[in-house]
Amino acid sequence: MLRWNLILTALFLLAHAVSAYSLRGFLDSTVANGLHLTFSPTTEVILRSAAAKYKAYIRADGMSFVFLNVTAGSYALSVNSAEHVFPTLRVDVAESDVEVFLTHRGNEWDFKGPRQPYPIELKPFSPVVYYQYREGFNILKLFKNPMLIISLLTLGMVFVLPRIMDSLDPEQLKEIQQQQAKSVPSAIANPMNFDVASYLAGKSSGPSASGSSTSQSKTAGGPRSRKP
Amino acid sequence: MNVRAISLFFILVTASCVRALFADEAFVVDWHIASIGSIDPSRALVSPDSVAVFSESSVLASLDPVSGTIRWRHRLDESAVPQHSHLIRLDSSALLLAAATPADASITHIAAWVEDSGYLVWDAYLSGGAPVGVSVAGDVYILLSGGKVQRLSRRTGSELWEYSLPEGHSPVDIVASKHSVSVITRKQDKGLGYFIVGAESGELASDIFVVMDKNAAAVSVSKTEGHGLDIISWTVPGEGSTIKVANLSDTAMSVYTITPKSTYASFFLTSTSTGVAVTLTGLDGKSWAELYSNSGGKLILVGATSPTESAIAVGAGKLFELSKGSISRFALGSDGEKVESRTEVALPSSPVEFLTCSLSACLVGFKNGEYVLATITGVTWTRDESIADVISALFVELEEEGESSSLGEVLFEENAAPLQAYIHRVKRHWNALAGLPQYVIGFFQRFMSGDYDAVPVDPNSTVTDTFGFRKFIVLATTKGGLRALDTAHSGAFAWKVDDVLESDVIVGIVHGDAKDKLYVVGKFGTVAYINALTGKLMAISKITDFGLGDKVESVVTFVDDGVLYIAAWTAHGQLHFLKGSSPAKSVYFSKVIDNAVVGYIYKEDRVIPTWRFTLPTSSYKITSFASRDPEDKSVSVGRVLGDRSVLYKYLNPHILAVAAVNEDTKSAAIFLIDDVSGRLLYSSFHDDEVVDTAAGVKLVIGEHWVVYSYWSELATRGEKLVVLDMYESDIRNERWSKGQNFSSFTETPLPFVQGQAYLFPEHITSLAVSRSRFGITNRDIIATLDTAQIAVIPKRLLDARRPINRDPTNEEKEEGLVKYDALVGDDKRFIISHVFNVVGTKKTICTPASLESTVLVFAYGLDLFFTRITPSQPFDLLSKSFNKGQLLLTIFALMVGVRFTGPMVRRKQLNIRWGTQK
Repeated sequence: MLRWNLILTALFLLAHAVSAYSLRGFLDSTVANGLHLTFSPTTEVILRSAAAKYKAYIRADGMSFVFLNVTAGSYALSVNSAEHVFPTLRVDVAESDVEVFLTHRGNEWDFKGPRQPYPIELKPFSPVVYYQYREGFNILKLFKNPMLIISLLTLGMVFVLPRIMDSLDPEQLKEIQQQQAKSVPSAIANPMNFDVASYLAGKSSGPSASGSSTSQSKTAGGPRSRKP
Repeated sequence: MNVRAISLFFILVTASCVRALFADEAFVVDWHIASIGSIDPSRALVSPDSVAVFSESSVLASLDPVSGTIRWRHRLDESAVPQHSHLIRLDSSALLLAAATPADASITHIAAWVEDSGYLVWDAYLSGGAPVGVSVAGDVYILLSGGKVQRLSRRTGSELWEYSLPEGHSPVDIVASKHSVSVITRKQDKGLGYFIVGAESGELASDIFVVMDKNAAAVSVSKTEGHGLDIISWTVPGEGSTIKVANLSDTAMSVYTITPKSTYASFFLTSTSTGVAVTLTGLDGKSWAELYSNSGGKLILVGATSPTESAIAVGAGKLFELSKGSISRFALGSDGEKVESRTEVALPSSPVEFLTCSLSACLVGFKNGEYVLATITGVTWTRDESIADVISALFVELEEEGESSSLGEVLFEENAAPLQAYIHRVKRHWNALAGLPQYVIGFFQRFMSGDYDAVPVDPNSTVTDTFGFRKFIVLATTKGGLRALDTAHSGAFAWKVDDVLESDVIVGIVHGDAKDKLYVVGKFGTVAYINALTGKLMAISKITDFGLGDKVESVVTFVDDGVLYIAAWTAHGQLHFLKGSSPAKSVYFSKVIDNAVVGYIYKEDRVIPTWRFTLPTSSYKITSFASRDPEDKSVSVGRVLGDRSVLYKYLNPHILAVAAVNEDTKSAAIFLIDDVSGRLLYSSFHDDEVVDTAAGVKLVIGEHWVVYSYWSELATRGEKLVVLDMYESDIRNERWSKGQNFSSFTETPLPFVQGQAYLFPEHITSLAVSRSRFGITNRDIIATLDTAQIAVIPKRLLDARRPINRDPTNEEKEEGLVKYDALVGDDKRFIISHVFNVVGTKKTICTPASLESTVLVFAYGLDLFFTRITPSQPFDLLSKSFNKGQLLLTIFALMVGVRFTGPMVRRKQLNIRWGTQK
């Protein structure tokens, strides 16, 4: 461990002998609708490479930050904020210049994003969402549910359809019944007889076709034709 | 076991991956205790309307003077060393902290902070050594250990001038006034003296080193920052107890002499309106104060207190004495001392460590880590900072309700004579009737609310709640005390014990045979046996057969034939079994010693090294190691794939994962070792990635997998999270461990290891894994981040079988696999600590609740954080959004519907039968 420290110290000294730079920047507090954000004093701006890590705190103006004593190199800059999500930047510190680029996590480091201005400008993307919200009971939402609308309509039909049927004359009624008998497959015509267990077991392709006398289909009005 | 049923269960349970804390559960299921760490009086600024501290844990904090809560704090562990720091007030609204930087002690970081808000005013790095003295007189004057004096602008921190001391002077302190700066130094041949430097010019006012004393020994400088006179005092060897005093504000700097009435170990001088007050601590530890008045060029003793065990402090011209639960304030007048006020205060029973006072407020530090701010009206607040330095923590199960009353009695009834047993039972039932009204009320309350979770538990009881969410967490602190926190009451202390090992240093705590008893083991062999529910000491003993100069390093436990053995592992490589018995069979264990892993066997009362695992080259350094939690359960031996074939898990309880970094090549390596035989099972090297070797590698082992993380620069910059899944074979349905217990000593095939790497957005500081009651629930990886947050990553996401660059096939979907995506953890809803700033977490521990779905998580370090997580959703718990009223209303509506439609249907059926459709 001691040796480790010595190496680190040596590296640090070496870096110092070379040169040290200051980096300036600020967090942009203006958001689209004229609202101004405030950044808590616990917000930290981090500059990191494998060899060094620098931390900057927010200044008394509530937005600006300064890194002191930064050695030349290529750094990833991120913001530790509990309230806002910030972009990650790439900051290249060289003797002549400081270059700032937008980066995206997972991109190769050599792939530089769009160039950003210096002094560093960090604009939060969005507030941080930590929570999930429960959906409470909402009667309006209930009626927006398509399933409920379908079932309500079906229920309505149960009452309305017999009256329509009754108002038709016997000729037409016979015609409709004949048409239905042709077009509707037995499975749908007799949903009450649908054998779920054997269907799931894959034993038969459909329900048993033998209709029982008690079955009453709401959709097809089948029992109507069966008179003792 | 029906593997298929379990896998189906898994798929059902884990259908949804988006999981987060519900807004209504935040601050209810979790709690957070923010700490600052131990306080040193020399780095604490106390005044009636503000308290500012730079703690031993490198936390700069401003405390609310009324409540003692933290107004703001910054952890400056990367820029300031507490032992080489000076905290003073820059002006009425700003604090100034000058400190040597941890990376390089020859560089000083000086920063001014807004006291109310915690924003930074300015900061600067100064080369030239650690700060020796700082003084504020308009601008800031700082003396560095390299012999440099600098004047910095009060507003910007920029350097105005710099002055270097001549050769041969070692700096002592600096005292600035409006026009001149006194730099006190020692010179080898001339002794203690000072230079006067012009405040404006930065040059020597006169080119002379004024010698104050040739033989000065202990020097103490008392600076009042403008609230009195700055004085310097020193002792001279060979002159008895005489103390010499000089007024630094006086240009002539005439030296006065005082002679305390008896010998002392330490002294401190402060100026008063008429002279000086000195507080002394005798060789016997008793303290007293003496008051001197300036009269005719001499300091004359005008009053003294009698030596007591109490603490004495002088502040703002008043003398404060703390003894036997009261703080007395004395006026320091020319006629000696006069009691001004005496306040009875309820103080902790622990011995006082320090007392520091200002005009009307005293900060008292106690040896057990408690701090009290007392004013003349009484104790304003108390903070227990011992919980900021935790050595070890563990969960303690509480009793289940009714358990104690029934089990013994039922046994009695089973074994006693029938008549006796009958009478006993009737009596028991009669007694139980007393609780009936309470039960009925409770039943209806629960029925109405539908909330079994919110059943209140008496904070003073040791009974757990309905679902086992209430437990105690016992912390062993560096101050030698134990603290039990109640998880159901926001971490309030259930009990606390100070100095449990009679001034031995705690090394570790472990559960005894009974889960509610604890062993506390000390460095010098003291062992205490504690009731974990009450904190009561049941027995204390000392390891007798200790080698000369041997020390306990850690506590190890073995389970052999269902019997628990607890042993203290010492620096000399010995095992001392605590319960008096040692295992009959040989036991194996391993330790990381001197950058190598060493395997040991304990047999016939001897510890013998068996194997040694050294790293490939000497430039590799072990940064971390992990083994499987012995209580981690596996419910299935295999993993069912989509085509109903099985990959058998490599479930070796003796796996030790070791992570090492190479500083020269900036690489990292992982080794999986069998810790009984020392056999290398797997290794993986991360070369050419430019790893952050200072941060190291963090790792954790679950049932058949290892997850580790490190920061590297290539190919892309960021935290890499790697999963290694171990299977018995890469061939499906092949299982060589079938029907036999496989031993570490037989040449079993090496595990088939499958790996996948991911990118994580934040720097990970430690990893842990959740543990549920039966191991059926999925596992979550719990990662503590350097953003002072704690995140969970479902293990299901870190799965080496995730298909890469293609959508999963139907079979893979059935297995629960999703397409590989390198980025994990981007969703902030994975952060279980939400808005809490959990600073300095070192370790996370988990324990199951009574419910299979729920895991209790506790993180400690500087701050404490507790929450509960449900890695597979709370499948055995009724959702909070479940609306009982709605359900009842629906049932009622259906009943009404049936009541109305029933007659209609009956009539219709009747009509059909009779063929009399109308």
